[in-house]
Amino acid sequence: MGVDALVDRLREIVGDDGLVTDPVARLTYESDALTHLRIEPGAVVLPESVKQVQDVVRLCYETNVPFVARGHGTGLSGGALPTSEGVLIALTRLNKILEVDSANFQMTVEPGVTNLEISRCVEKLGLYYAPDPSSQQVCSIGGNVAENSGGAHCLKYGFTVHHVIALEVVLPDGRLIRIGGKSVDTPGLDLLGIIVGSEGTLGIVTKVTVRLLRRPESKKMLIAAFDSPDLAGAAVSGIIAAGIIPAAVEMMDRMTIEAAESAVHPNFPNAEALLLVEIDGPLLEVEIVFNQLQEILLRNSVKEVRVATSEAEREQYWRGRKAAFAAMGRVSPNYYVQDGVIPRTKLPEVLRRIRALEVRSGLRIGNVFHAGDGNLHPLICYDEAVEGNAKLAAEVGAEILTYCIEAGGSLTGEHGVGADKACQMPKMFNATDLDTMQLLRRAFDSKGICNPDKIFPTPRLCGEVPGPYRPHPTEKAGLAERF
Amino acid sequence: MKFYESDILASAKLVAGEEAVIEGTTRVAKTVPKLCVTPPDVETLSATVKWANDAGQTIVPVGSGTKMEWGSLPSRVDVALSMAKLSVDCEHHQGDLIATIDAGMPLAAANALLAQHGQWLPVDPNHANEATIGGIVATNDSGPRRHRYGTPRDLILGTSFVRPDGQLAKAGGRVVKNVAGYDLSKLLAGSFGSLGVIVNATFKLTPIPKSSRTVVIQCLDAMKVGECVGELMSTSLTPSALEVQGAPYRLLVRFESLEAVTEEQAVQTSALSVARCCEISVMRDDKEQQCWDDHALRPWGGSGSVLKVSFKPSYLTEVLQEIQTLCATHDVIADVVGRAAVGSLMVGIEGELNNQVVVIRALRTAISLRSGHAVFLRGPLAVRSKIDEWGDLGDGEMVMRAIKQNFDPTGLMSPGRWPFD
Repeated sequence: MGVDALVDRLREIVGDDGLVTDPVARLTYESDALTHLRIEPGAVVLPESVKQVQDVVRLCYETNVPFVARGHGTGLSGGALPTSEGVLIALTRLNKILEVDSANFQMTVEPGVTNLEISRCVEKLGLYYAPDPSSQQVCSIGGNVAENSGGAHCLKYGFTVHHVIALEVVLPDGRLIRIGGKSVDTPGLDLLGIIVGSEGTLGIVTKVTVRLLRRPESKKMLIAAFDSPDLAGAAVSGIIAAGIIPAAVEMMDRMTIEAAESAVHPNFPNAEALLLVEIDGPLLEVEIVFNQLQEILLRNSVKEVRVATSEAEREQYWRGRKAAFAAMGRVSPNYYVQDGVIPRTKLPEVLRRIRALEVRSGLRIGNVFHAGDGNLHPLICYDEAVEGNAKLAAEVGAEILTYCIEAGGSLTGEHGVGADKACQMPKMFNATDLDTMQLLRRAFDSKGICNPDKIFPTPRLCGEVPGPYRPHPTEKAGLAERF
Repeated sequence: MKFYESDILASAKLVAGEEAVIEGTTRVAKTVPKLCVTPPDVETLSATVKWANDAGQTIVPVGSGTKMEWGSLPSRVDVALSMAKLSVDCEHHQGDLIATIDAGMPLAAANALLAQHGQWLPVDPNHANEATIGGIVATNDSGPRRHRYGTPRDLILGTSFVRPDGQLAKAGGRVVKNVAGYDLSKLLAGSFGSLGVIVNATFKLTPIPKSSRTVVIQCLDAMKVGECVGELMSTSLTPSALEVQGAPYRLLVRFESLEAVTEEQAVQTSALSVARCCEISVMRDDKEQQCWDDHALRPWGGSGSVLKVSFKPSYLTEVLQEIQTLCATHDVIADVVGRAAVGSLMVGIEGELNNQVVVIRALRTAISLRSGHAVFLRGPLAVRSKIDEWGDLGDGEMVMRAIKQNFDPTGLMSPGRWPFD
């Protein structure tokens, strides 16, 4: 059955105001924040209860119509890219905070609650929710669960998967399950650990219980200027070798420093590379470690160190870092954010290759780097008004990923595979690895209707991938020969 | 391919090599296996698993065997697959804070190697001196430092494993941050050998703390334990472990950081208002180590049942009181050890066998009323046979069944370990 035939039944489930039919309103749902991938969804629904989500999914299951869940659309890999023959289920109306249990450091929310709302809600209790993606003001916790979002502080504090303790999930056949729990060690396989980060392909999350942390007693931050990214990288190695795990270590190169400076004036020094380093923890520990940190920087050819002397100054520096992506708009008509991971120690080697690529392609590439955990965000500048430029940018992005994988890293550190990188998965995983992941997917979604065409390469998405050579039967039989 | 029983030994030797195969002599999870195969390398491991699958022989992977009886026992053990020879490599990238470690390597050996560069894998599971990396991951076991570092599932970054059909697969990565594809290493952590044979695992490491102090607080009763834990958790103190043991109850509060910091936090802990009416001592150096070594032996000393119970942390006092009441009513002795602020306890129960059964059942009921679980880890067969070892697996069981069915359609990998296979 086609999705058009479903519209009346969808209307029965979500009501008139839960079905988006206005062509202009529907434009919103054609893409997530990876805006160059756009598909007009077959239908868009805005359920306002778990029951409605379940009914929509059950209808899709019964009629073999694919569906895609969407949070607040801030994803950067096309993970919420709709299908033209399917239903887009936007969870923006499921946005209630359901329970705060501060005695157990837990909080239960609906998927449409934003990341920052969670921390704001418990701020007065001295608690917070640790994962802090740069988009935290607007991104939804449901989307964070789908993508296993990290943020600047994840080297020390981990990712979404370390901070979610229970989920309620509508399975692709419409059944509702609760996994994990308010106590640890639920017996059985760790379904929670596998659903977090599954990019919406195993079900739709309708409730999330997160773990809260006590705010650290003290936080100190500095920025350090270097004459090259290599020198900044060496300083980070020195920090790690000294046994220090900073709460955050971010690196920016000249291009991104200048872009951020012109956009939000964080008062960054003029430098080839900049480190932002934050230490948090008990007051005394922070004092001692922060002094050690400054000694290490001095031993590693730092040009200038500025210590944030007030909370306002600390926020100003962070604003500069977090604005780096958007600020690229000031130096280039268009830009493409790549997300690759390298073993941190391979940074100089990978940066050299990126610089050579920059020269070869003629496209400028800025770099923002979560230097503690090796997550590299090259920002590839292009101008879509120039014929072939957008395609070139995509090719440059793909090539950078090859460097990351050759260095022993990963295709994606936090943005996810989504639709954007599905065709690149074979660079990192062989056919058996991918087949094994499919064993899991089919256990949840036997019909393949839950967020299809994401994560995994398919001929439809990627064209026929030439397989290993197999002799033709006639050749095997000795009736033909291969020249 | 079908085999007559008499052919099994010979055909296993053809696949795994003469040296690698012996007839089963010692029990694995209470059963003497037909064969014990010790593959010398990954290729042989892979071939052995494929052979067993084709030949309809069940396989049970074995590390050092310290947790083979946890949960349900395998229903049939044809081939015990020893990982003893896949225990050589510990690839340490200290600058990247990661290591890829062979499954058969004991944790203690791995940590001795990692310590050469001032780092370690911060897990302190049960039987920590013998336990292997593969076994620790397969059972997702942890210890007191779970309070700060979580369980192996939280530290694992990637894994290579042999599927039940003999194919070698990998998942995750070898970098601390990676979201490419499904993270099957999380699925294998705690799967008790039911989905495949773990070959190696990559972990995020941490620097070894420079100094340690442990504050020991003698608590009068369960009420005091709860109050102490509540107060500790409302301060900005940062213990690496917060253990309760008893009865008689003691709290062990461990601080691991720089010397000045552990000293300061120990002093601050001693000054807590609720701690003032308790007897307090601060341990360091050898005495502190001894205290933790003794703690690690509990509650494994006796021959009775051992349960792992979990519950919402705020119910700690109630759970301790419940255990005490059950002991008094049914004439058993309980030894309780565990993570006071996580809500995870190990409970050893000694006493007449029927009484153990009654207490376990009653405790499970009481725990389930507090959003918790109780899993049977070890105990006399007479007790085990009357207990559902895992308890309720919840709504997820049907999905777990589908996963097991897809990964292991012939059902030959550690069969019977779970109710869903």
